[in-house]
Amino acid sequence: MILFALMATTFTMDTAMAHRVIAFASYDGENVTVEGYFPGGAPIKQGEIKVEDSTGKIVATGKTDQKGIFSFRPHGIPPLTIYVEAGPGHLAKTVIDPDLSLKGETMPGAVPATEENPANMVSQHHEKAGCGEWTGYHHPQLSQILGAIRGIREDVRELKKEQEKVHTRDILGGIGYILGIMGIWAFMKVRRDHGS
Amino acid sequence: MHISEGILPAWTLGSGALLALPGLYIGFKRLTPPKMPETALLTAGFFVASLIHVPIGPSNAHLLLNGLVGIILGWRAMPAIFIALSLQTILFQFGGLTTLGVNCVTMGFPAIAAFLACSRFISVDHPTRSAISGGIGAGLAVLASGILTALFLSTAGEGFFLASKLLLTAHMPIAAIEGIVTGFIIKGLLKIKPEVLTR
Repeated sequence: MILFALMATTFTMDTAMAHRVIAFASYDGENVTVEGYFPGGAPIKQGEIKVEDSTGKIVATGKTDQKGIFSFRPHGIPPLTIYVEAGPGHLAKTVIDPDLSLKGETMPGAVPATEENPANMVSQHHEKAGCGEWTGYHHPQLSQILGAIRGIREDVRELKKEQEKVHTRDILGGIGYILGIMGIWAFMKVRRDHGS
Repeated sequence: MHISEGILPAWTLGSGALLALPGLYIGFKRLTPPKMPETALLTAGFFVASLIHVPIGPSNAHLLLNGLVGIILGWRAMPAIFIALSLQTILFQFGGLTTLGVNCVTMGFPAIAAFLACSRFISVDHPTRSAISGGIGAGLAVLASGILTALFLSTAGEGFFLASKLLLTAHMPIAAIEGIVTGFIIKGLLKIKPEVLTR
């Protein structure tokens, strides 16, 4: 009776909000956007954010907003490790490497950023700088490409949220495992007791 | 109240596992075939209850039911909670495999404490007293889980008093709900199937 009541409560919920913290980070060439959420999509509001570069130096800290989002302008030597904490004992970690995000390539026809040409800024890790400088380059068609990438990243994020949800089949599967484990244990015990 | 991976130092994880082992040994020893069905049902109940979340601030608080599981199962609550936590880790990545011992201690020890404290007050002849003592035991078990969690988190550099305050504040409503629900369940069981509680 208790089990049935619990299952009815869980199944009637739109999303079984889960006890795991998930972080998703994307880089649009200018800012890194971090989204913290629970499986099922519920945002982590006022979650603590800490960002470290590859040397362990803290390059950004802050809190997520009401939508679970935190943005910052990246600096330091990549890859960056982003920690999202939602209360004591609940921590998620994700790593972002802009070299992989933008393939580390210099865009054809790119020119250095100047005051006369501030549009279509692209940030790219400049290896020759040696100290993790994030330099800017312009490209006239880059904003279209970045817009498309942003759209794809949002789709990936939504797909990831959907995947992370706790579904009814998972709950039923877990209950099945419990009954199975107990059944096997009981079988082994009875066999052992009859044998002795 | 699950502690995730990557927060606690290795020595804390090892200590948690070592602390959980005696409780698991005693619990598995007492897990006889006639007791399997009720143990399985309550394990499933604990497994499902942890999925019911209430958002509180940046985090979520979830039902524990460790008090009810402890009062009904006694020492068998440890293996029940261990199996439920293992499956939650494997299936849903709640908590973690390395933190299994620690999570067993934080949720299992208060369950057994509730059993040891309340079982002497539970009898068929006094259903109201049984319900009240069981309800108080279950509520305190939730709060004790919060304190134990804060204690383990303090080994990772989190302030014990701050973590305790946050966890206790978040779980006060849960403790109250579980206390009331457990009280009613105990009263009902004493009427319908008293042999579950009196052994």
